[in-house]
Amino acid sequence: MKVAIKEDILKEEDRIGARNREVLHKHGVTAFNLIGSPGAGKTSLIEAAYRQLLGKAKIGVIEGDLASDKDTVRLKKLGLEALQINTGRGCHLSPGMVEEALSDIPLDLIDILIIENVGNLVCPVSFHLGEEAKIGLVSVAEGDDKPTKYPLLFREAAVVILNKIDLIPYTDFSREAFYQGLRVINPTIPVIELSCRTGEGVGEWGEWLIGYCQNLYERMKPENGN
Amino acid sequence: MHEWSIADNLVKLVVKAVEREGLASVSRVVIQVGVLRQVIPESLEMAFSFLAGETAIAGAGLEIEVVPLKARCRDCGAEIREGEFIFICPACGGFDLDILSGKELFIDYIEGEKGRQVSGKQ
Repeated sequence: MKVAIKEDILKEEDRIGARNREVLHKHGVTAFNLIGSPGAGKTSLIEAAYRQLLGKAKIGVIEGDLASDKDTVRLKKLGLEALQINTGRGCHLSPGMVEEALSDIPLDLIDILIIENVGNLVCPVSFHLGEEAKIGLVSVAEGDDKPTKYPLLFREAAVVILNKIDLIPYTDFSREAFYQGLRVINPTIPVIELSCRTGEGVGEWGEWLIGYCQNLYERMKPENGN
Repeated sequence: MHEWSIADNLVKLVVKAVEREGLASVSRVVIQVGVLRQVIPESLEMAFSFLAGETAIAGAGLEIEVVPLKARCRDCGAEIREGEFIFICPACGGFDLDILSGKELFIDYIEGEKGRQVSGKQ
C-alpha cells in the first residue's frame, strides 16, 4: 500500500532552529551564521568584527570545527565569549548542536552571536541554526568562481564578504568574473571587499553588522506590527 | 556530506510514519530533492540504506526525484526554467523572482505492507 507523507525532511531540524531563534530573541541577541571555505578567514573576520564593535556591541561566538579548539583559544585571547563545538565527522553545525551550546553561553552579556560554521560552502546552507542572516565569506585565494559553483549560499546569504583583497595583484582572481558570477545568482546582494590582514574595508564590515541589527530592532518594535 | 544528516532525518520520519500507519515493512521511499541542495544521490542512497539498516525499515529502497530549478518573475510574470543557475528574468531583466522549485527536501510517499508486528495503532 502507498502512504502519502508530504513532509519536509528537515522539519525537525527547522523546528529546533526556530526554537533557538526564539531563545536568542528573548535575550535580545541577533545571531549570524557565518559560512565559508576552510581558510577563507572566518575566524579573522570575527576578530575584525570584535575590534570594530568594541564599545558599541558585545559579540559572542560559537565555533564549529570538525576537531580542535584552536579558533576558540584564539578568540578567547581577545576577550570574546567563545564556545567550541566539535562536530567529529559532521560537515556542518546542526540546530541541535547550537541549542546545546546556547545554554552554555551567557546570552545576557552579548548583543550579537556569530556562529562560525564548519568550513564548507554546501552542507551548512540547508540547516537553519536560529540565525537572522547567513553571511557568505569567500576569499581571493579560492578563485573567482565560487558563486557559480555554490549557488544556494550566495542566493540565501544577506551579505557576501570578499576577503584577502590584498592578494588580488598576486593571483589570477578577476573581480569582473567574480561579480558576473555573483550577479546572476543574486543581483542585489551587498558585497563587502576587505582584507582582515591589512585592515582595509573592515570598517564597512563592522558598520554592516551594526546596521543590520538596528534595522532588525526597528522592524521588531511592537508599534510596527509583527 | 550533508547527505548523512538528511538521511538521518529521513529515516526517523519514515520510521515514525511506519508506526503511525501500522506497516510491517517498507519497500519504497520516494523523495524529492531540489537541484539547489547539491545533494549527491548516490551518497544519500548509501547513507539511507546504512542508517535504515538498523531500524524497522531496513531494506527499503530510496527513490530520489531530482527537481529542477523553476522560478517566476514577480515583475512580468515570465516563467524561468534554466539548466544553469541564473536568477535574472530573461524576458524583462527583473531580479525579483519567486523560486517555484529547486529547493525541495521533501518526502512524497512510502510503499509498504500492513502487518501486526508493529506497535503503532491502526
